[in-house]
Amino acid sequence: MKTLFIMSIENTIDLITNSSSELFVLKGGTKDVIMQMLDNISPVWKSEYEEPKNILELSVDDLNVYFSYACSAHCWPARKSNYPVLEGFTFDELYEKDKSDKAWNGEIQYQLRNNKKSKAKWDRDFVTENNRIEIINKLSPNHNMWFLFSFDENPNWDLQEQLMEIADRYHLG
Amino acid sequence: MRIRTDVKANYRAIFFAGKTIRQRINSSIQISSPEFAEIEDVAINNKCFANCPYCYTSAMSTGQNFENIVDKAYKVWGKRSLNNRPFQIAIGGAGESTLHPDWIEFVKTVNSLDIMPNYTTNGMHLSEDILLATEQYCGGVAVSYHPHIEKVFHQSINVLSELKTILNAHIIIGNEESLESLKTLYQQYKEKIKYFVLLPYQSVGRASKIETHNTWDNLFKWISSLEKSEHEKFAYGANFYNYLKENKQELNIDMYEPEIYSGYRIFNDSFMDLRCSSYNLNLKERV
Repeated sequence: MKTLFIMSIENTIDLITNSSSELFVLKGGTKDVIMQMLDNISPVWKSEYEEPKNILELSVDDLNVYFSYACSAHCWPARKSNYPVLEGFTFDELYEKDKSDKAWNGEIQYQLRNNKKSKAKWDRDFVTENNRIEIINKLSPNHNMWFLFSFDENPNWDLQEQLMEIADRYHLG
Repeated sequence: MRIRTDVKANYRAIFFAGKTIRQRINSSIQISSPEFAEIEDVAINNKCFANCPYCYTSAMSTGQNFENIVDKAYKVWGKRSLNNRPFQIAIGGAGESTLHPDWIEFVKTVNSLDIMPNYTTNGMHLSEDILLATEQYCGGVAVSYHPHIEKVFHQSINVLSELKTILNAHIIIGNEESLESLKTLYQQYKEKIKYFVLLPYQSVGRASKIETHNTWDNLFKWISSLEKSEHEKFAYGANFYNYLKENKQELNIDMYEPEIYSGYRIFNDSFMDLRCSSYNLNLKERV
């Protein structure tokens, strides 16, 4: 399984020499600072992970991969409370009924809302070209989320453990 | 690398190679002030021979070097768990720190506690031993620019730029003359100095009241006129916060509320107290 780490960066600063107060530094260097931090953890990260992407750089496909994992109940049959409701969204904005029949546990099952207009049952996506920006703005109003996708399945576990100290880890199916 | 987490403040910070990355734990909630400061401004004396007419701390040649600063460092930081120690300190605050006879031992001790010492100097007392300790123990040094001791500034920049330690310049921006000085210094030293740290003139201490608004307007106009890549050569003192909030700039500046990550400690008898800042001496934390 591919791995994704997510960080919500508030700001980055360089060392402080100002003896009277703090500094403000210019935005924009965040990606470089994250890459320097990863180098500091292990210079080999580049062989296993793509460069960090800000949420605004994520494609529709990247976002759908993220939502399909972040909005999974991770069990079947599930209870309604098993479905994560991400901050910024309501349950109904994220999910729709999977089938009208209840599962054997007596509960309706849900899946990510299909926001595609296609009639084909299999052709469904939560994020589309039309709602991409709207979804990004809801998920991260300050656009401060950074994503680190692994190239392949099962990247080095020691490195994953180190990254888990500083970021939320998702195992992408 | 040091990582600090304060769940209550929704705050996680990673410190490595002098840089800090601050993260929200829950991305939809703002960070509040963490329990322990990440940066401390530290005053180890209030003695200074520069005699600046605008000194905001009113430092004097007759000022004091505070006693037992090395023991105090152990007491205030050494007894805490590493997670609760600051990542870095900026030594300065109330006087010219390099005048203190225990300066070298102090920065060595701070470094041994896994805290990065940085300092500000007027450059008047940079001995060989201090330069050596700067390179060995300090992450960064900043030279303050004062027109009446300009020669010392130039000498210090040239000497300190030979060290591996990061070199900044602190420049107080108040009148048009100070802005013109900044422009000249920038052209002269932009290759040698990492950050030009711009501090807004404050009429505090023995600094008299002057009109600064127009100069600050002109300052930001000038920086905006530079190539975008050059904008990163400037950092701004927290006291620009209110001005920047009221006067939106085209510059992409990361703003956060002053004092939420930092505090000010005076190594006199009150060394166990952390104050809000050197401009706001209200108590923030007492160990």
